[in-house]
Amino acid sequence: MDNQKIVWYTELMMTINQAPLLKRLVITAIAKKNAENISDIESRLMHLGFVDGATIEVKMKAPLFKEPLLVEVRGRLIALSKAEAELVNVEVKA
Amino acid sequence: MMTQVALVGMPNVGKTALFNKLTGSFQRVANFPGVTVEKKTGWISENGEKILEVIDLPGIYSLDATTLDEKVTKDFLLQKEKSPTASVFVLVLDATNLDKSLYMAYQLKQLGYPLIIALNLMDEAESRGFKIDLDKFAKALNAEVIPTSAATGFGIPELKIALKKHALVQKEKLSQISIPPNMQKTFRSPEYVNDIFAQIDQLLSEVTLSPLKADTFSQRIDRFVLHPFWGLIILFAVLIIMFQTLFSWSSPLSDLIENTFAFAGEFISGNISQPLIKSFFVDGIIAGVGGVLVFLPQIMILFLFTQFLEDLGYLGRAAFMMDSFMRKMGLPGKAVIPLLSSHACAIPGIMSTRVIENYRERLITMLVIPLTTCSARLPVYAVLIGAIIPNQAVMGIEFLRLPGLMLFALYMLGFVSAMIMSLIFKNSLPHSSPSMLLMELPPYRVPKFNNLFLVMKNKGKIFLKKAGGIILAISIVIWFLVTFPQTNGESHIESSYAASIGRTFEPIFRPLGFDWRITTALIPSIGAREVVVSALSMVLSIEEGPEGFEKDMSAVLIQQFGLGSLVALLIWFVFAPQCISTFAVMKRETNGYLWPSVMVGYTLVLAYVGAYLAKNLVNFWF
Repeated sequence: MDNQKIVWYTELMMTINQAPLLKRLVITAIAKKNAENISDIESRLMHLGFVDGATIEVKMKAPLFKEPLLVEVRGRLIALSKAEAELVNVEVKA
Repeated sequence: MMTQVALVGMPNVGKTALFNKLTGSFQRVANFPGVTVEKKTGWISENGEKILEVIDLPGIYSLDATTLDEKVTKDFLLQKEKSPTASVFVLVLDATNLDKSLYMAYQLKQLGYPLIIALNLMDEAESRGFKIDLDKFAKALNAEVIPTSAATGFGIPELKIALKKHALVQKEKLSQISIPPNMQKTFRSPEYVNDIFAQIDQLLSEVTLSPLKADTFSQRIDRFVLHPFWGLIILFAVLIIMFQTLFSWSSPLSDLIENTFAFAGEFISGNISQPLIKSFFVDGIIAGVGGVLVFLPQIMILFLFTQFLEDLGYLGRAAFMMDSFMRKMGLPGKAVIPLLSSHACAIPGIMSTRVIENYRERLITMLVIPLTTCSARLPVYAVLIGAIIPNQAVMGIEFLRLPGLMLFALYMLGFVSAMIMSLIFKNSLPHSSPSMLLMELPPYRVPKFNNLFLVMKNKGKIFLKKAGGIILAISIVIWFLVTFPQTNGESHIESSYAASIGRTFEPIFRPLGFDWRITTALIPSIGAREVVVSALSMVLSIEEGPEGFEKDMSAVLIQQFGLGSLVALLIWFVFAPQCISTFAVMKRETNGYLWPSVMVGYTLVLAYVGAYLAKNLVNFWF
């Protein structure tokens, strides 16, 4: 029972990297893994506007190797590497 | 001491353009003490007299500084004991994107900074329908707000008046600011960040009279420029044009400089009868100064080009498209321009690595740049390839010839070893700051000629001041080594100090098949690689007697040294740090002798091992 729950939960969670393109997304979690020790990259992400509840949109992935990603947040375009995009969880805006 | 004013702001808010407009062309570019972060200082003048000193601080996203550039600005703002500081701070905001640029305003306001806000790009915002209640805005931020446009000069006189006014009173207020301990942790806490964004949204909803229309212009351009197919075509076209420009536009200018100095040399030699003094001026000083100035056209053209792309907003997009590819080689996307331009010359290439924000990645790029095949190697390759490889068509195809294939192989050898070395450095150099991409792609803007011109001028000046001295000094030392001691008032390279050094080092180079004639010729080529050709011809022709001059250089080489040694010499030139200018520029860009020495060290090892293997393989097979 518990196992099933976990599977269901992880399926629902997706990172910016897994999110569909050109859909309004809401940030559900950033820097949640280690709230006591927020990394430089997580901090920079937050200061650029990647905060819980913020609406973002993945505009495109770069032509070569599908990386980096181009994300619109607070009216500007930010390029994120795959690893950086994995740090932020989102869900599609209803 | 003159009152100092510092400009603070996020990247891409037009801060440097505003700085240029405020200070005109009175500028000085140096590094901040102890770090390789560029510090631009300028002056505001009144009636021909400098009244205020203005410092353009590196762009900063938040006081929780994560990069070296940001840390410099943060230390400056928080007035750390050892760092310099200013008495007035101007926060530059982007009126077309207040959403983002207000973040710093709130941080500084919270700490109690008296603020002067330059609401820059106001003309662009207004043309996109943006209207703001300035009084309310100023009151809410407890700041003096001056709408400006660095592009048109709008608001600049008002800003100057405000600066003069505040210069008298702000210093006192600044001294009362104290930063609560443990602030670093607060700066990064999600609650703190969320709170500021909430305040920004609240403020904007209150002061916005008419909202900003979306920048459809940039969006439309991006549809082509970032297109999976056309985007790459455009990128390659831009890179090819840049490379072609560097190679061909700069050569008439470089030729002009070389010819002017050759003429000056002839003119002087006609007027000095004492041969030694003549030689000192003509072959030492004039040739040395010419050898420094000859780099200027390429440096200025490359910076004209990169700054144009940067101001246009394209540089970040090029980096975005190349990033994943370049990372496979251990380099960031922005390294594509330095690396490519280094195929013309490593000097502008190394200087242009400043576009790479992360210092560690910049350092790796600088370290591997000397492995790329610069144009100074071409004359050396031409002579050596001519000596070792017959000019034969491959498989009966007329335009596919062995020498051409060999040249291509040498280019590839340089490029592939640069890739391998960057991966090695990536995995071995200590991590100073986190490597991140996370960059903003700014909206497109028309570059201003004035900004481009200032960058070209500043880069040229830095090169002459910081690298020119070393290059000139070494050229004179080299001149001395090949000229002295004289016999009967004449100089002969085979009896010079250079030759004694060459003979001393001969045993070390014996395993590579180099005898003293080659090691001697290598000494003057430390000044510039291509000199090895004339140096070898001098050593050889003197040995050969008068007929030596007549003979084809390549034929003499193969007859004198044999295949193994010449292949070894070719490989030596792929790797060896035979260029004092590279060393001098790297010393300036890394702020010390450590990294240039590392560069010389590892390339020497590569050159020695490579040449040794090449010689033995050749002798084994042939």
